[in-house]
Amino acid sequence: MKEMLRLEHVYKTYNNTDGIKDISFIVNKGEFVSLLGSSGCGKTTTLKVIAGLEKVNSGKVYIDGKDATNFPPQKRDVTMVFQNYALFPHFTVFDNIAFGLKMRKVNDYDIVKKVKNIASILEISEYLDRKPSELSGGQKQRVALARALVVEPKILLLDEPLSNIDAVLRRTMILELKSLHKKLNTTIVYVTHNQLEAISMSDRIIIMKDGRIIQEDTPEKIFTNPKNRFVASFIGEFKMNFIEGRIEERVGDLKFVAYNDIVLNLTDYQKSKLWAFKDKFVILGIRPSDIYIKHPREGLLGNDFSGVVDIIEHFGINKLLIVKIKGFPITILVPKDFNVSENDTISFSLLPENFYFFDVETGENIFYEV
Amino acid sequence: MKILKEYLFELIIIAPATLFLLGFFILILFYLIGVSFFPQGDFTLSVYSAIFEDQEFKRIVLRTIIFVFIGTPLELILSIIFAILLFNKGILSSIARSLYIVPFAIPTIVTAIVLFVLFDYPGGHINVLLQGKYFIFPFKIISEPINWRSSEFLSLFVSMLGKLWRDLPISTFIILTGLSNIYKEEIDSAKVLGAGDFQILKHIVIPELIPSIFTVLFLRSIEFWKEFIFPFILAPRYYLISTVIENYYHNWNMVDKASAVSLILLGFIVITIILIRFSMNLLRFFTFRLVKNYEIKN
Amino acid sequence: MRLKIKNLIINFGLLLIIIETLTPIYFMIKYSISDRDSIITGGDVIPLWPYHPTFMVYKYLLSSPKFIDVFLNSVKVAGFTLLFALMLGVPMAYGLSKIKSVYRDFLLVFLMSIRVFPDIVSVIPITEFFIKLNLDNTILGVSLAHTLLALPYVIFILLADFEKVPPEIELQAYNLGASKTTTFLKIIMPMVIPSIIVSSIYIFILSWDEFIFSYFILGYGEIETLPVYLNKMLSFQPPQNILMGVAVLLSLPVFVFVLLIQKRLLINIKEGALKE
Repeated sequence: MKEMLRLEHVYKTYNNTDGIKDISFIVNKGEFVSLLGSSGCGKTTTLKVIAGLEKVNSGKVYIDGKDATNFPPQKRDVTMVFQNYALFPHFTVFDNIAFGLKMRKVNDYDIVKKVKNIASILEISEYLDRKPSELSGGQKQRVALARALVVEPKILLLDEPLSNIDAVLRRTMILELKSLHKKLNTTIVYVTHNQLEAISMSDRIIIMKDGRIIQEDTPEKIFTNPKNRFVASFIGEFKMNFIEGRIEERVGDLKFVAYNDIVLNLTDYQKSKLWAFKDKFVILGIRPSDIYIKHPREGLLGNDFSGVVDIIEHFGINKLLIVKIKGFPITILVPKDFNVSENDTISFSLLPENFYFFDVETGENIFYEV
Repeated sequence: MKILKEYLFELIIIAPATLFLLGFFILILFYLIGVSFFPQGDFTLSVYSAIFEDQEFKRIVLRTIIFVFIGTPLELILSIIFAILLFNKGILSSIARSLYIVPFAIPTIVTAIVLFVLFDYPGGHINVLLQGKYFIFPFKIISEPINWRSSEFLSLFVSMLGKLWRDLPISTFIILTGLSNIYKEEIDSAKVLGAGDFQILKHIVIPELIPSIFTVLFLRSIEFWKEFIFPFILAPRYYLISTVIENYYHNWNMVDKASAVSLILLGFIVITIILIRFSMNLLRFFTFRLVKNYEIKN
Repeated sequence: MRLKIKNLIINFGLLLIIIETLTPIYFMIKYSISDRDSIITGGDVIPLWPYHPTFMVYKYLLSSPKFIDVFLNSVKVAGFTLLFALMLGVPMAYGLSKIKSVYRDFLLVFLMSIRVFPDIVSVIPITEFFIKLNLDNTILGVSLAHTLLALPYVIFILLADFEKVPPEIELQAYNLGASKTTTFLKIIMPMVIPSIIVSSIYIFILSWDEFIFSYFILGYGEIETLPVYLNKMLSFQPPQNILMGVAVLLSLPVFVFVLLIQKRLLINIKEGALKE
């Protein structure tokens, strides 16, 4: 695969506090890569560095094999869609989209052809004569996309493009962006704080925190193999359960013991690594979706518990139960049609193969596979 | 009458100021019309025809028009340049911004007199400077000192300088406010789409500044018509419409002519206001076009 | 490289703006502290900084009965103007803020349109009128004329503030048994004290600076205000240091006051510009 973008040890700080530190990654041609992180993690700064809107303090930016570190934004052939769309209010939709082509001195005949083509792909042909102020949020969104795509940039940068539109429209736009990416095969760097957007669209996700890259992997790998507790809690629609406890040897067997006398069995593989943590505290993580609800007459599976359902929260096709075991709250995801009501007692099993273990101090995943 | 009852208290407390303003408004208008159209009690245009037959007055009108039509655009262009310079962040810019208010804090007559002294003949600072006699500016631009007040062009030019010095900060401030209403992302968008500094200025900044530009044009053109103190002090030999009113009144004791000219000046101002309003409305129907004559229908 | 040149041009431009702004003030002060030799140079180049800086001019002016007299006249005129403009303007602004009717805006626009008259246009009718009333050549006459100039601004500034007072406050006062007059004087007025102070400074500066009306109404009579005095001095070709000394002393109060209300002033300019 051809490499399209490469950042090498890029630093860009403001007043020595915010900004990005030692950012390196590669994006291949046609790839869809997301920068995921909460606000202030440096993801937008990274985009601006790629676009050339911010000068790096040190490090290199290569675009299409060329060292573009000192290229002005105009010379990079990288376009960007901003969070607030930044449409030019005095131009019609047509002229907004045509702007980049005009700057590239494309002749008017080709401009009209290209603008119309992209407008029909994005289904905004009927709005070409309007001013941005006459458009809805979703339409503005499409215009901004069309404007950035029409010049066929080497890389398209999207800065939280879906954050200003409502949830229903967002779902549709996720699908559309995905199919658009498939159709046009543009290289896309996508910035978001919404893990769902990142997981559903990206080929790869780069998770950032405090201006640094925490983990970089495919959505599946990030989900199953989080680098640390931060990533584990950030990824996944429902927040992972974390239980702090000790690794203890009981009758020659290694167990995880949480303070309320919750004793959990471990797999052999887990034991082999956790010997080193004997008599030390670790954090156990288990996703709400990974907890197995037992049939009333089902036998023991190991790590069996029963608890009283404290609260039920509904999430579309799922519902989330907060169950207390020995006073400790644990969230469990069940299908919507699962028959349970508050104050019922349910039985479930915490299967050891679904456990994650994190270092108490560093938060690193003890079983992280590089 | 319902309004009278409902707002009795309010009407009583606004009465004094209303009567005061209204009284003077009527006084001014009626006096000017009365004295200029009815000098002897009967309606006559004789005052006006006397003024318009006066070759000198024609020169004065022309001079004033030129003064307004050079001064206003000049102030607009300078205020745009100033605003763009001040828009950049930095120490110098924040110093310059904090000095905004300074010309405002100096009485107009003082500014006029400072300029009077600076542009003195033959030994004023400006003459000395232009002769290259100061080490900070060793360029000899003129060989003989200039008598600024004895030349029509130069004395009005110096008056304009004073006016610009005093009013530029406000115009700059208006433009700057317009500038800061443009999203930074719009400019960034234009950049990533390939626009250079000049193209951003031409296609994004200036078109979006149009409302602010009109505000400046509107306010400043009126100001230039009205301007009295600077030409009064700095160009006493070359009258503008405003200064000739003073001349008719004080030096010739011709109240009728002074009143007629006052109404003429008012007329010019009203016409200017209407013209600018009109072109402002016209502009609303005008769209900025990047690509001309494209056919929308497929 | 290109960026560096751009920055250089910008900084050079900014420097020019700063110099341009400060030049007149620099020379005004420079002249006012110049000694005789630095002004009357006998053909030599006039220096950019006086040979022997001295406060002689200020000592002279501040001990000159004529100057003190003129200075006090200016203070009196500004004081009377302040009094009149507030007495007329505050109730007017409050009353207008209460009236919810289309006639109100009509009245407002009409009253503000008095500012369309250039000073030089309205000055002759008013002067002639004052001559008939024997108000010419009096401090009262000048103050009344200045009140006319200041009033629209005062109403404009205060109206915006009165409209910001939540209506519940008045309703509460009425509810507790206060009359409209008491409510206005005891409840609402104190709430807009900051704006009244700002307006007062506006009025003071306007009257203090004002030349055209003072010049016409006072004519060539006994009473002079500072701007009129300064203009009259010019025709006697006085030493430039004394001229500039008067200029500095005339500017000083304005300068101090403008700095005090700098922020508000810029906001008002902005609002004013938008309303035009």
